Amino acid sequence: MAVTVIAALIALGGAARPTLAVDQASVDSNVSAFRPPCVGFVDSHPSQMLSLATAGLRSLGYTVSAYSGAAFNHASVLARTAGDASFYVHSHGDEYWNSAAQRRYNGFREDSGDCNQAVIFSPEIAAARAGRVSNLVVISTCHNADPASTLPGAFGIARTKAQTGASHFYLGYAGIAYDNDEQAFEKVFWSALKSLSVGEAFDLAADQTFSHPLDADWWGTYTWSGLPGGVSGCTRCLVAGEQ
Amino acid sequence: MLTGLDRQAPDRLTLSAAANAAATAQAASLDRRLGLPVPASQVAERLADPVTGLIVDEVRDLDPLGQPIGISRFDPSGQLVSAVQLGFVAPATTVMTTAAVMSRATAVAASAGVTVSGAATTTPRAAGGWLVRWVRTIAGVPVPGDGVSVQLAGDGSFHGVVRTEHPLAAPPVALLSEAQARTLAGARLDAWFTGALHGQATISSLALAWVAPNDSFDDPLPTAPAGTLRLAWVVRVTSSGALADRFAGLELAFDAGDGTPLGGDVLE
Repeated sequence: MAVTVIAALIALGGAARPTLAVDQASVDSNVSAFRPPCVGFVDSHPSQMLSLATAGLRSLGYTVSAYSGAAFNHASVLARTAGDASFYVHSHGDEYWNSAAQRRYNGFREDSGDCNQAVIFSPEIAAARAGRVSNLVVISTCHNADPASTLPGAFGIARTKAQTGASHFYLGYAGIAYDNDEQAFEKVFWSALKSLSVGEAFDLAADQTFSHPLDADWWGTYTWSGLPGGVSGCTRCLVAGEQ
Repeated sequence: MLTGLDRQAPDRLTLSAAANAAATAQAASLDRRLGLPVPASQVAERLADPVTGLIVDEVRDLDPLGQPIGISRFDPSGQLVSAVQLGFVAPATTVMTTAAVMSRATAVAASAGVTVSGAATTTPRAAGGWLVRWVRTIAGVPVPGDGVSVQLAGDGSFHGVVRTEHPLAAPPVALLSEAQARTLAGARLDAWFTGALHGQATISSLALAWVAPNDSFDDPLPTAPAGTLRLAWVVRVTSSGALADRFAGLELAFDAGDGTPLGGDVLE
């Protein structure tokens, strides 16, 4: 893992670590694993969820860059994450065995435009972000909101729930999750953010009849608006004075 | 289909004064029956799903600051579609038994005027609380995307209820056998996974279910109105080896009458 992290830092070109932009958001979706030549079918969901997330974050006011195929790769994710205020990914996710650390960590697979897709482990993200707290993180994979997930912490978000007090929110799925259900959840979540807080949007998105037993979880601040800009300019906080 | 009601490109229809009054009265009645706080005010709007054309009247309960505390939706006939209470509820220190959760959820459904039938499943939710779900069945065949779900918050209080019932296409006159469905699925897997991947996607189960055709595998959608469910053989597929690094499983749906592929789902 250490080698991988070093490789990622080299990929930054030796330049100074990018500063966290208050409105920078990256959206990644793994399309290659679910279309030829990696499999014989074309799964339409990853590109649709990429579009939903991109539109959703843009609607909130983030400056969004979207990546799939070769552009969504291990090095690029780690290079970008240091400057990302918010992040979305749709891919294969799990608690993967990390042979270097001899333990499991949560993470997700890159796309890389081919069929040999490396895992991006939570400690690699944590090292690249160096403790910087994220605003809005949506991890559209299996298992990355399991109770002991190491991924929220990598984005600087503690696995705690609060009604008010901060401006960050991590959303993911517990256990396994099918694409159709994830897309149904996310479609409502992103659109609800136009007028509801992140926690309210989560509750509205969860109040659906899914085809499988989808289970999502969140950590962060329920009443945060989801808008970029940290503690300033909170126009939709629910409780006055708790921005 | 009420799942995925689109608010980003909503078909916002004009809600007449009479319809507005009816919707807000329905919401107020629901609040009373569920024992929810009386809102300071309510706002209503009519939303349409641009895919299926289904229409709901949405009522938002607001607190004195004008912030939403609950959202309920009704179909044009006044039937409850869904309701959710907003706000984070910390889990209670005492643990509710499964029987208590079931009893409470059944009471919630009755208070909401939602009819439930058959056996329910009770599941603790990762975010706290419980989900109690009655899956709709037709002559013993499940309709996985339909039924009644009641969510209880971490302290056992009402959190949400949703009732989903899609229209069904006429059932086929004659059903494909399970063996025929297995053959169809096997042929699809043989075509999709060749070379080293051949044999890394195996059928784990087959069952009849009413499903919504979809474009998961770029299958052409049937000409029936979107949201209409078809009786299908649903074939579950499990991956292994290198293929498991790409996805964990698949569901393949085939029309139970003529074997037409109806899409399915991907478990990444």
